[in-house]
Amino acid sequence: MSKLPVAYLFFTSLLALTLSASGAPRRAKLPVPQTIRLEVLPPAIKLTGPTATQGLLVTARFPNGTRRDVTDEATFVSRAPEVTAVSAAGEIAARGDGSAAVVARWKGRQAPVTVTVRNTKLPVVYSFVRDVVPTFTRLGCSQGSCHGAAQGKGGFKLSLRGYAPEIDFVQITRQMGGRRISREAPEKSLLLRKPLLEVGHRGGRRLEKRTRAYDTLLGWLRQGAPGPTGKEATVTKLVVLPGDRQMRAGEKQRLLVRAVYSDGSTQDVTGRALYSSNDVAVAAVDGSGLVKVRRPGETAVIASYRDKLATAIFTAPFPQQVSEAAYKFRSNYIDDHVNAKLKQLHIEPSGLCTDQEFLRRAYIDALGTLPTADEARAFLADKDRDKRSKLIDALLQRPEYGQVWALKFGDLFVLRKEYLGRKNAMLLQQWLMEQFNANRPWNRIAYDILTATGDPYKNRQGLFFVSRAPQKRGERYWIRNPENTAEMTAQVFLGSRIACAKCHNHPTERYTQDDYYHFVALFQQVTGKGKRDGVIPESLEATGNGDVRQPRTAELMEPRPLDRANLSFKKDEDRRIKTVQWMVRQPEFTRSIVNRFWARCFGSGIIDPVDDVRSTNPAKNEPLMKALCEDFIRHGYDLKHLLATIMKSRTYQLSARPNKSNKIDTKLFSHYYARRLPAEEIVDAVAQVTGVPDKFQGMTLGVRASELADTEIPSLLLDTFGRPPRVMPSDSERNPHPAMSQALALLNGDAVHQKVKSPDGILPALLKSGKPDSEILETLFLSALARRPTAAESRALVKAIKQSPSREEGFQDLLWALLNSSEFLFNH
Amino acid sequence: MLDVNAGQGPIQCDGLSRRHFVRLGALSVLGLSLPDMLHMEAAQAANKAAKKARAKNVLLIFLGGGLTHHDTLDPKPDAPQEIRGKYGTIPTGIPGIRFSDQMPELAKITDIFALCRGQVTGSDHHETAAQWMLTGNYGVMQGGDYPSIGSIVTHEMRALNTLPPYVAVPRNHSFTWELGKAAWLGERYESFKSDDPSRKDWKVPNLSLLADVPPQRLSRRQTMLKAIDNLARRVEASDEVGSMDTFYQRATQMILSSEARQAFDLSKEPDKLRDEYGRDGRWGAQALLSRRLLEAGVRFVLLSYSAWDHHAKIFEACDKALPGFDKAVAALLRDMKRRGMLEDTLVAMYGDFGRTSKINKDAGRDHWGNAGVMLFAGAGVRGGQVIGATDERGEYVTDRAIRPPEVAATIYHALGMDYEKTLVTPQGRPVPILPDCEPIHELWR
Repeated sequence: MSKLPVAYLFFTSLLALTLSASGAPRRAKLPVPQTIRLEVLPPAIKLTGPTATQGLLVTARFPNGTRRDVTDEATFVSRAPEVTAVSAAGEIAARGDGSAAVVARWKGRQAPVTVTVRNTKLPVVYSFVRDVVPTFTRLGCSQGSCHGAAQGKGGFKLSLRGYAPEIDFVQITRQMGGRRISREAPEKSLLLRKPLLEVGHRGGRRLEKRTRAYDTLLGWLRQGAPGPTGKEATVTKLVVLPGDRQMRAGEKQRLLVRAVYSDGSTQDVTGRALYSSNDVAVAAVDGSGLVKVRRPGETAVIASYRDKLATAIFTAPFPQQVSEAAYKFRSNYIDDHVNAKLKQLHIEPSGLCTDQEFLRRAYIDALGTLPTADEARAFLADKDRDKRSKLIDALLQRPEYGQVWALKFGDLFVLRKEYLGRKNAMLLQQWLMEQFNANRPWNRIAYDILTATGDPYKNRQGLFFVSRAPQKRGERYWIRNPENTAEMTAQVFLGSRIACAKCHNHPTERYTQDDYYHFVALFQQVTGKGKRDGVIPESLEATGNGDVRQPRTAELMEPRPLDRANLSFKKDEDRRIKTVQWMVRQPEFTRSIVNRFWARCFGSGIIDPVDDVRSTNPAKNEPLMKALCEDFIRHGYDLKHLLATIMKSRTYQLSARPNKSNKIDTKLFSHYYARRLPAEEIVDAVAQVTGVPDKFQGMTLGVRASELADTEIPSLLLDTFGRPPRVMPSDSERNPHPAMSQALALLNGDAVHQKVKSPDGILPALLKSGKPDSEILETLFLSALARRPTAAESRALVKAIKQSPSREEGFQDLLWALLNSSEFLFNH
Repeated sequence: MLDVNAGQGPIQCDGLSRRHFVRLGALSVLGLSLPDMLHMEAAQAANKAAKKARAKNVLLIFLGGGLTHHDTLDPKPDAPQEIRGKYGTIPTGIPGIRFSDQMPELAKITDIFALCRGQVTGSDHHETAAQWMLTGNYGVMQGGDYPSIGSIVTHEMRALNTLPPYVAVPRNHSFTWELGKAAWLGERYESFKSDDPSRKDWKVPNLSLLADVPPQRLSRRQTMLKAIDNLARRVEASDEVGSMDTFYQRATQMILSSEARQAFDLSKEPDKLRDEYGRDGRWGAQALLSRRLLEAGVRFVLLSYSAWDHHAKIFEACDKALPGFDKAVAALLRDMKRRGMLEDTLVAMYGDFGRTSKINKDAGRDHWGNAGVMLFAGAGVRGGQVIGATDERGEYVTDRAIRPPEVAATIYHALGMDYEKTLVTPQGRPVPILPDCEPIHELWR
C-alpha cells in the first residue's frame, strides 16, 4: 500500500490504489471454479399494466463463498416473447397477459425466473403524481439548486424534489398563463422544449427524445395533462436489492430499487431513483444505480425515490490477512465491537499508546486542559498497574469536566450577548456546568431544561427559552420564537435537523412540513409572566392554547411529536412535560448523547456528522453504538460512567501511530486520530504552559477561555482557531481544521510572544531557581507535551540555548518552539 | 481540511450530496493554493458559465454606518433647507450633475467612475443592511448564513500569489459585532486584517516581524522547533497534522519573504503621494495601503471606512470627515488610473444605506434603506455616467433601483465568476451564491 495520505490517493490516484489493493484484474484471468451457482433477483416477478418493466440482477456464487455481480456479462432470453420481452441489459417488459420464464445465461450456466404478466390490455395511463413528478425529480429539475430552490429559477418554481405535487401541477399548467404546456400540440410544450434545449434553457439540456422520461412527459401531455387526483397510492417502502454486500475493491454491483405502494403494488424504480454514497472514496454510485467499490473500507449507498429512502452497506475488506491474535486484546465490550468490525475489514488495530500519550490525551478529552508538569511527573512515576483507570476516575471528579460540557452545550444553545445578554448566557452555562459536575442523569438534565417554569433567575435552566432574537411574536419578554426552540430541541437532543422541514418536506428524513409545525406546537405555549421591569420574565409559563398554523396550508396544527405518536393534552396542560417524556424514550435521544461523548474522545462520532443521527445515516459500527446505548440506559443515563467506559477501553488507549494496514482508516477507530485542539483549549493551554493567565473583557483575571459563555467577548486568537460564533445550534459551526492564519498567529503573533517573554510567566522563576538547564528543559517539556525530552532533543536544544545571545532569550525561544510544535497543538 | 464544495461538480440533489464531502486533506500539500483546485473544479463543472473576466482583483470601499447621500454625491439643491442641508453644490465633469461642495476632488474626476444613485438596501437596520450589502443575500443580522462577497471570491478563485488573498483594511466592518464574515465557509476564507496603518506603532498583525524577533532570532526558533520530534512524522497518515505542518512552512515563508512585507510597507511610497492621499485622519494611509495590496496581487481588498452614522450634529461631523474622505478616495482613483490598475481592478464603494432627508431635531440624519449612492470604477466600467436617480427629496428611487444581490452580482460578474453556482453548507444545505439577479449591466455599456 502507498504511503500517501488517504485523501491524496482519493483525489489523484484512486485507480492505482484500487488496482493494487484488489484482486479484480488478477481474478479475471483465473479459471472459474466448477460448481458455480447462478442466482437471479428478484426471485419472482409480477408485471401489472402495459408499461410495466422490471430489471434483473444476476449473481454468480462461487464454491469458496464469494459472489459476484455478473448482470452486465449475462445474456437473457424470454421463453415466451408474446408475454415478456427482455433486453440485452436484462430488463423485462410486459407484452401480453400470461406467464413466462426468462432465462439468464452466463458462462454456460443458466438460471430461470418466472414472470407473471397481467392487465396489458388496459390503456396506458400516466399519473402526474406517480409518473410526472418523479421524472422531474430524476431529471434534476426540482433539485434545490434549480427550480426546487425556495424562490425557483427563471420564474419557474417546483416543490423541492416534488414534495408537493399539487403546487407543481399549478405551476406547470396554470402559471405563466398556462403557456408552459400545450394540450393541442404536446410536442411543442415549453415543458419539453426547454429541457430538450430546443429553446434557451439556463439549466442546459436535461432531456433526450426517445427516452422513457421523454415518453412519460409526452404521454402525460397527450392525455390532456391530468392533475393529481388525491387518490394515488403512496410509497410505503423502498427496497434496495441485493441489500448489504461484502465486496472487493475494483468490483461492481448493480442495484435494483423497488417501490412498494400503499395499494400493495410494486414498481421497479431503478431508473427513476436518485443515488448517493456516504463515502465516494470507498464506493461510488452512478445515476443508473451501478456501485463501484474503489478502495477497502465501508460505506452506505443511499437510494431515494419520492419521499422514501433506503440504504445498502458496502463493505470491502483490505486484501491483507491479519492474524487472529491481533484482535485478542480487550479491556471492555467496546473493544469487542471495534475488533469485530476491524476483523471484518482485515484491519489490524494499532498498539497501546504510551503512558505519556495517554496522560495528555486523557486530560485533554476529559478536562480540556493539559496536565501540569507536576501532575505529569506524579503520573509517570506511579507504578500502579491500574493507574490509567484510576486517573480517569480522578479526572472525572474535577470541575473542568463540567466546563467542557457546559461549553459544548453553550455552543449548541447559542449563548451569546446578542441573544440573551452576557449575564444570562453565563448563568445558563454555569447551571449546565453544575449539572454535569454533579453527574445528574442526562434524561433529568433534559427534562429540567425543557420543562423549566418559574423565575429564570432561580431556575436558571429556564434561560434556555430566553432569547431576544429571534423573539416570539407578540411577546413582551425575550422568549425565543417556538419554531427555533423546536428546531434547537430536535437538533441538540435528538440529533435531528428538522429545520429543512420548515419550508419543505425534509429531503433526507421522513418529516413533512406538517410534522414540523405539529412539533412546534409542543413549544408554542411558553411565555413570560410577571411585572419584572425588564426583558427577562419574572416567571416562565407554559399554559393556554398555543395554536400553530402551517403557513402553506393555513391549517391548525395539533401538538404532536415527530414520530406522529399520539399525545393528548388537556386544556392548559404544559405540553412540554409529555414531550420530554416522549423524547427521552426515542432511541435518537440516547444515540445522540452517546455519539457526542464518543466524538469528544475520538474526534469523530460513531455516527458522522455527530449531530445527524437520522436513520438514513447509518452508524459506522452499529453493534458498538447499540451496546453503548444499552449500557448507558442500564446505568440510568450516567454520563460519567459513559465517558469512563469509553476512556477505559483499549480502543481509546490505542496509539495515534498507524500501522501498515490501518493508516488508510479514518472511520473505524483502528488507531487514535490526531486532531487539533479546539480554540478555547489552545488558548488555555498557552496560558497554562507560559504561566500567564488571560484577561478577557468583563472577566476577572484568570477566567479561562473554556469558561466564557459569550462568544462576543473579543479574542482574535479564539476566532482564528475556530471558536463557533454561536448563531446556529449546530456542531458544524465549530471549525476544527488547520488554517494558515492559525500558523501565523502562533508563529508570529504578538499574543503568544508576549506570554513567552512575560516577566510574570513561568520562565523568569524557573531561570532563577538555580536548577540546571536540562531540568528546566524537562519541566517545560512535561508542561507542554506531557513527556520528557528524548536524549537527542535534549542534546540539540541545550546546545541551541547555549548558543543563544542570552540564556533568557534561549529559553524563551525554546518555549516558543514548544508552543509551535504540532505535538503541542494536537491531541494525539 | 474539509471543504464541502470541492470536487462536487454540479449538485444534483439536496442533502444527499452532503456526504460527498470528500476529505481533501491531501490538498493541504498545496497549502494556500487550495482555491486553485476549487477553481479548476468549478471551471470544469461550469464550463457553460465561463464568463469573460474583466477584473483580476477588487477593491470594496465599505462606508459603514451609512454615508449621507444628500450631503455628498446626490445633493438636492432645490429642496427646502431642512432637506438640502448646510452645503452648497458644485458642478461636475458630467453636464447637469452636481455634487455637494464638500466633494471638490471627486467632482473633478467623474470621468473615472460611474455613480449609481439608486441603492435600495431595503433595511434601515445597521447590522441587517450591512450583512445584506456585504454578502449580496438577505440573511440574518447576526451573519452565519451567508458568506461575505470577499470570502466567496476567495473560495471561488485561486490566490494570485502567496499573499493573503483577502485583506480587510484595517479590519472587517463592525457595528456591534463583526459583519461580513466567512460564515460557514470557515476561517480559511476570512479576511486577513491589516490593522490601522495610520497608527504610528502599526504592525501588520502576525505578519510584521515582532520587534524583538528579528529574522536571525526567528531562524534560531525554527532550528529549535525542528529539534523537537515532529508529530507529522509519527502519525504520517493524519491529514490534519500534515496540513498544519504545511501551513507552518508557508506561514514562515510568508513572514520571511519580502513579497508580503513590501506589500504592507507604506514607507516605500513617496512623501508627495502620501500627501496627495492625505495625512490627517486614518483614511489616507488606509487607502494607500489598499492600493499597494491590490498592486501586489491581493485578490480582494475590503477598505472599511466606518464613520457615517450621524444621528446628531451631522454637519459638524461632516465638516471634519468629508474633506479627508473626498481627498483620499479621489487620490486613490487617480493614482490607480495613473498606474494602469483600473484596467483590471474593479473599485466599488457603498455603505449599508443612505440617510433620511429631513434633518432631525438633533441636527442629524437617520438610517434610510430606501436610497443611497454607490460608486463603481475600473475593470471596463464606463466612467462619466450616473445610473439611476432619487426623487426631489432624495427619499425614494425614481429610476433604476439597485438591490444588494445586484451589487454582489456586479462584483462577481466583473471577476468572471459563476455566481449562479450553488455551494453546500457543512449542514448539507445547497445555497446558491446569489438569488436570481443580474449585474448592473449599464456600467459596461
